[in-house]
Amino acid sequence: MTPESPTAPKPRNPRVALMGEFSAGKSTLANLLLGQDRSPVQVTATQLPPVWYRQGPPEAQRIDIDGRSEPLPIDDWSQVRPDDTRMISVGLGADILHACDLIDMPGTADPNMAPDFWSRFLPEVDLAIWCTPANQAWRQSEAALWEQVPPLLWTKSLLLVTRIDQMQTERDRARVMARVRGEAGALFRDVLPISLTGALAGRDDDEVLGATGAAALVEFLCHALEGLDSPRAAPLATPSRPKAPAAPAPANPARPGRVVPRRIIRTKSGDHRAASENRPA
Amino acid sequence: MTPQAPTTPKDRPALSAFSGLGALATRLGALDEAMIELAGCGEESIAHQARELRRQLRGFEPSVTLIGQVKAGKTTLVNALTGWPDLLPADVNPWTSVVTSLHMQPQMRRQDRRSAFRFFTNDEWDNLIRQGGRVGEIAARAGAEDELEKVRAQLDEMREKSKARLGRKFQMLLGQTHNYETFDKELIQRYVCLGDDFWEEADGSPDQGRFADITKSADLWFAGPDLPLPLCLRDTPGVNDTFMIREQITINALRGSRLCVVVLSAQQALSSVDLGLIRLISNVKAREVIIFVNRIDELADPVQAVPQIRASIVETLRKFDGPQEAEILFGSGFWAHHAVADSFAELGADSAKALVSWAETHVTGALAQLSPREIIWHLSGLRALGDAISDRIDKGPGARLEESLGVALGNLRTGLAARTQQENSANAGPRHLQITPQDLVQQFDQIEDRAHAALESGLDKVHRSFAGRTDNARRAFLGRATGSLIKHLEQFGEDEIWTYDPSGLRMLLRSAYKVFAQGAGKTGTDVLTNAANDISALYHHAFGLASDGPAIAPPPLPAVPAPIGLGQTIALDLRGSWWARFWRRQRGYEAFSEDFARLIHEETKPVVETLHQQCAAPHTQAMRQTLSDFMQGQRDVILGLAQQAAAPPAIELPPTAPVNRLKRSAR
Repeated sequence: MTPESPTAPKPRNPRVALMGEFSAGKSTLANLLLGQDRSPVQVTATQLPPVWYRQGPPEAQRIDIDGRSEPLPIDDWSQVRPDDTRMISVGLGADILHACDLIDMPGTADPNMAPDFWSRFLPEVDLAIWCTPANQAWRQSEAALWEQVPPLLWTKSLLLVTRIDQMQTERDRARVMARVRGEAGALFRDVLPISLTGALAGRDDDEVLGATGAAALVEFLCHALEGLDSPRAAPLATPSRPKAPAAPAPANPARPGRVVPRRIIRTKSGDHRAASENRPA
Repeated sequence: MTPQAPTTPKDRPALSAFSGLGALATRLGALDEAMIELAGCGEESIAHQARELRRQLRGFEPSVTLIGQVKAGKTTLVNALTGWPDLLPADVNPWTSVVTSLHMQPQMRRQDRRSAFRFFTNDEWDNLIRQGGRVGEIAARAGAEDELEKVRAQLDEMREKSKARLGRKFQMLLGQTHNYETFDKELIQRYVCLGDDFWEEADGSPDQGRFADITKSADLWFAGPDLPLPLCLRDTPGVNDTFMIREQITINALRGSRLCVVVLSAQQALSSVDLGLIRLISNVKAREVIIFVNRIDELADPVQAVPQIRASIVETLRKFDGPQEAEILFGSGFWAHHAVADSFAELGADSAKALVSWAETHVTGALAQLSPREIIWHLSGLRALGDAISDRIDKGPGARLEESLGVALGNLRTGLAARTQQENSANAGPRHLQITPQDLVQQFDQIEDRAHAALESGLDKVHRSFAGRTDNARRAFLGRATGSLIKHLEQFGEDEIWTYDPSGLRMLLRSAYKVFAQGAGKTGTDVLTNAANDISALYHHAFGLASDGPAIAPPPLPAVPAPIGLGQTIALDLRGSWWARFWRRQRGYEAFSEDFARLIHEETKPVVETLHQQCAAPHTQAMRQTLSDFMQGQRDVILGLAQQAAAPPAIELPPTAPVNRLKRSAR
């Protein structure tokens, strides 16, 4: 088990894992953060191995359990089975990938996946965003799993309450958030609500990003990535980090992490059908 | 069969989910008519039994239990099914903490209602933990092996809190029942909804949830004027709550439920926890599990998503040996709620959009002619759910009641025919009873003794062969599994984790139980049939009936209990960390196979014991009871008739006869 992705340059990018039970919105979140519709989103469990997104020319590779890699079409992973594949490694020209690698983990609680596949990936992860849907938020199967990750990860990670738009009233939102904060707050650096469908639909609108919770998410990421105290995170602030091609100068050069929100806003996807969180792949 | 209940409120016509029970109600009503007639007949022993049968019929209350994960929408669904949208309190957070039985009674007046809330005893609290179904383990939920400790800790904490809040009353309340001649929302909240310790609100009632943590069960009785029959809906707190006591309460409630609706949430249909729950109950015959995929209103495109979800559920059930024939229905308790409450303005934009798209594909033909409320009621899937429940009640407990009442009624009629025969012959001549009442008693005793002896010897044989089969099954499984383990060690060494699927053992045990049930059934049928024939012959002989006249029919056999023990988890089921830990603890090959043999022996023992003690033994006991009840009923009638026949001469019988006729002759 190597602590590195096969293609990662040294020193490497921080790694952010998107975790949660299946159908909690992980792939939609990946699409929002990447500014495209790369991750397959569907209403039933997506049976894919972890998908590792890093900055680079567009390509996809399947890494099998012995570490061998083979090229994969960038847009069709339907032949990849999770049992004999360690991960799919994807190069992508997305702005956020300058700041960190994103790992879209398979959903937990899927009876079709081995229950502990996630554990071998965790040592490679710097922080996690755990997605839990507001309408069935933070159940025992999630709590029990999260209690098993290394406590160091707790202090850095985010609990993201997705589908907050499905709460009918302001009071309902507040009640759910209050309970989840009460139960899980101590196990995360922060607990934030988000409406992923709303944010995807209004990717270009600051006001929408603010109202849906996407802006707060990005702000969290900036602080969290900046604050990663492990030596592995150092490359984030070093000049050796690859520069975003043709990207406008960061709003605040002193805090490189801050660039992320603006880039998310500016990276525009032409495909607005992605507005549906449950759109079949 | 019941007096006409008051009609529905004038403002809104009722949306009925259970009109499908109408056919059964009509059939049972016809039986009741016949029993009323018999209850009015002059022969007291027959009239008495007819009244007993009527009591049985009136007490018929089939029940259905809704289970599922927390926040799957069970309470909203239950409310909509009763046609009373705000009956039980529902919330965006898990709230229900108590198993609540809603008894809907067609014969009750609309304004009448009552309620009873029963508190735990200390023993029951302890049992709650000990008898848990271990959903976490079956679902290989992370940390499942430590769950028991956590539940215990949560329970202790809850107990301490209740003690602090209730003070000296705490000990006094345990084991008690609070009865009310009414109920309302606040009363229910006080007993059923656990208060939130994370939420303070100015208008929050201090009483809310006051007793919820010590309440074991809540029962509400109210009028169900549109129901053809009484019906009990049971709402459960749900599994997979971080407050794991809710899960334990739910699992314990399953023991008493034959018909279950598993409620899934459409956005995450059939997670490993759902599957664990379904496996836990799937040893109950498949037609008694209905899967309702709720909350399709939250899908962005239900028309496209629902077939995908269905396919995924079917595939997962197939892959994991779940109940593949279980009916899968889709719907939305939320839509139904607003249909019942007639409050479509509050649907919310997304839900309304989903509803419209769902309607565009599903409203066709006759459905389009209905009022919008009725259309949405249909679209919500609750009509289909009600029909599915009605159908299972009709074919299950309803059919069983009908059969046993039918047979008992036929036998009473046979008795009545003997009486008529007597009366006719009494007109014709002086001799009507062909043998003395003493002889009759003696002969009846002989029939009964013969029947009991035959039943005991037959059941004994069946039991012994069952024990042999289960032993063999365990041995064979252990042999095969150990063989596979040794082969694995030879091939891969001990660093690779070995897994072995225990479903082979379950299959062997299940088929052993099936053979047992068949054997016991055959024994029971033979014994009861012979006894019925003997009694018929005795009738003919004693009352001089024509030999082709009405005969006595044997009662139906009791239903075979479901092999619930097979749902128990054993270590091999645990693909997760528990098993891996066991594996890593071991040292050396011999230690492996020895420890393994011991482990499997210990693990399978309770499974087999449960099968013997909680399924097979109660079944034979029920069979004995059926025979005893049948014989007692027949004894009452035949001796009652004999006494009447003998009464005019009245010399042979001692004066205490009316009491003694129920007794066996002295031996």
